Amino acid sequence: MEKKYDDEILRVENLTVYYETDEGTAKAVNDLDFVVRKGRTLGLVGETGAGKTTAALSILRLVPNPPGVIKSGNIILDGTDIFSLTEGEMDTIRGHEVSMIFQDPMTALNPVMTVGDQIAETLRIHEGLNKAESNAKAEEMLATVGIPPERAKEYPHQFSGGMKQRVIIAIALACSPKLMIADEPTTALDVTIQAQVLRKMKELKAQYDMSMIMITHDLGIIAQMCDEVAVIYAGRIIEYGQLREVFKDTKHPYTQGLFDSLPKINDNREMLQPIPGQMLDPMELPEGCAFAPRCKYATEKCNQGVPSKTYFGDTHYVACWRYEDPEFKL
Amino acid sequence: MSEHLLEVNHLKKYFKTNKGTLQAVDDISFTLDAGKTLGLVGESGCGKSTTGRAILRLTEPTSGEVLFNGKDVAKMKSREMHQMRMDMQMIFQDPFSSLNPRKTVAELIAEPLKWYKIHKSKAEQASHVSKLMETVGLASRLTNVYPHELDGGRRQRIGIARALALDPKFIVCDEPVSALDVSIQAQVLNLLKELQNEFGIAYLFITHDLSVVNHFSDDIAVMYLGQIVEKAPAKELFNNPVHPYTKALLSAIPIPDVDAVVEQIPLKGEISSPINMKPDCHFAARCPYATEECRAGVPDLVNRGNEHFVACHLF
Repeated sequence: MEKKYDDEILRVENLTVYYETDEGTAKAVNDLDFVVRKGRTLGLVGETGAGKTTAALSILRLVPNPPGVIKSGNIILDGTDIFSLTEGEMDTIRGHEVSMIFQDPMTALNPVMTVGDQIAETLRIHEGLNKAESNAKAEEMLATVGIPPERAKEYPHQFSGGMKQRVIIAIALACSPKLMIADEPTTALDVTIQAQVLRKMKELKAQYDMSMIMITHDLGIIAQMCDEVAVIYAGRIIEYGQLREVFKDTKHPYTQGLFDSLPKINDNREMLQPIPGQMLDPMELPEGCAFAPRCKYATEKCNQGVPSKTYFGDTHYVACWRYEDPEFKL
Repeated sequence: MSEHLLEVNHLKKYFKTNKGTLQAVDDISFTLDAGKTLGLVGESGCGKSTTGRAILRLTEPTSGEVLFNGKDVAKMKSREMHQMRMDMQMIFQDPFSSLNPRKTVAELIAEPLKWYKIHKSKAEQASHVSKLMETVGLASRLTNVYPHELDGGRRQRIGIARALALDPKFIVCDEPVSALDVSIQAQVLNLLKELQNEFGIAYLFITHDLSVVNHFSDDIAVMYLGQIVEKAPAKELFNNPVHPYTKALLSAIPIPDVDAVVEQIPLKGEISSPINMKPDCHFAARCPYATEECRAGVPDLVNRGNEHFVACHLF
């Protein structure tokens, strides 16, 4: 369990989410713990299938059921346990207290509604504004994300990818949420546009004094945007810490493997050091450390039981059996 | 006989649309030597994939020359082209949609061998397929499985085996690792590099990912709206980028280092429409340094020494 903070916005404890299908049970999220503090950004980093998106959807209680089942855990949002809320109460939280930006701006907008109406709709539902008020606020929001307000009457297909993503950010921000969850918000965008969108998000986060969860597979984005980092593998946090701790004092062999796999901008023509093998099928997770089959440091012990946390300082921890040996170094 | 394996001269590919002419590839020239890699980088819609496809005549070039071993591919008859394709292959971006889902791994890899009637007997062909599978690192137990049973990295290895089957001299790699996770991406990049070292294959490596291209290429050409704006040896381009677009592109890459000090060069707006473009510097609309001159004509690609070519009116 994570340490208590006075300024925590979100606390996730022992969250376990399975997808139960005819073919078997996919253990998407396993015993996840994390805390998001006020005004800070937590990065969730991991590869396809690591369970990042499922974790995010759980916070909004949007995991599709069936097949998704929340097996255990507590999610405390600003003091309220969201699993104790009715569906109606949950509706007032979504978009109002917590909002989410999805990966693909091409499909997240309604193609037959003007972008202005889509922003205004959120404001009418959550803030109870009337038509004129909500339209005026929608134009204001467009201006906030750097889109000329007169384009409020246009449809999504008239916008480029980067602008669509900014419209989605405008919708997400419209009700001044306390927490914004951004799920790979720039993956579908070109780098120069990605840079524009990230800069805008950072600026708005400060302006609205929000907390943020940034889900990405890109360690470069994490370095640019986040205060804390959780590295996820097969539905578990395998390393957690302040940005600098995880980047400069990397402890988990998987985290190190991710850094080594990246082509470096300034070392040309060397062979990369990939992580051998592939991510395990979440339907067939082993009893021990899920990374053990790919890990060059693995020993017999690694196949026996899920590794417990070893702390280095106040916040930085790693879930790796090898650190039972105090002498162990990567 | 040209001394280069591939020489592209004034290649153009225009598409007619309802709104006018879309200038996807607008007068591109470059050369590529045997066993070398040219990285072609740029953002969505800059014409990099169309360039690759036009070179292989998967789309017919509008004009220009594509000399392969000195022979103009663009003017070849279809029979001649069929033979030529043995030497010129392609690896596609998406390993999820570029493989026939109803064929097994072995059948997929055997396709080019059958098409060119390389082997007389089934047994000979089967042994060639298993050799190819070994070359690209596919376990022999996967011989009879279907692509949907495999992850992206393994599927991309099938695509690579297919491209290798006919011992080509040149492969167009169109975003071969973009659909893959980083740990798998590194495996595939290393494989491509090993194959190049072993078989002396030349690559045209098309990507939007500058760190990948730097790692991989001898030379890099940066494209913007159908034109090459800068071309130089990889190190030179990364150490001394000259064109304002290249500089902005390099500064936009998020660096996975908490101490990286990157002065971002923000670009105004977005890529403009490639339809009915004016004869100006296409980047001028977004360029922080643009002057009147930039709007007056297309800048030439000029060698500034060290094989560093730049198309910009400022220089």
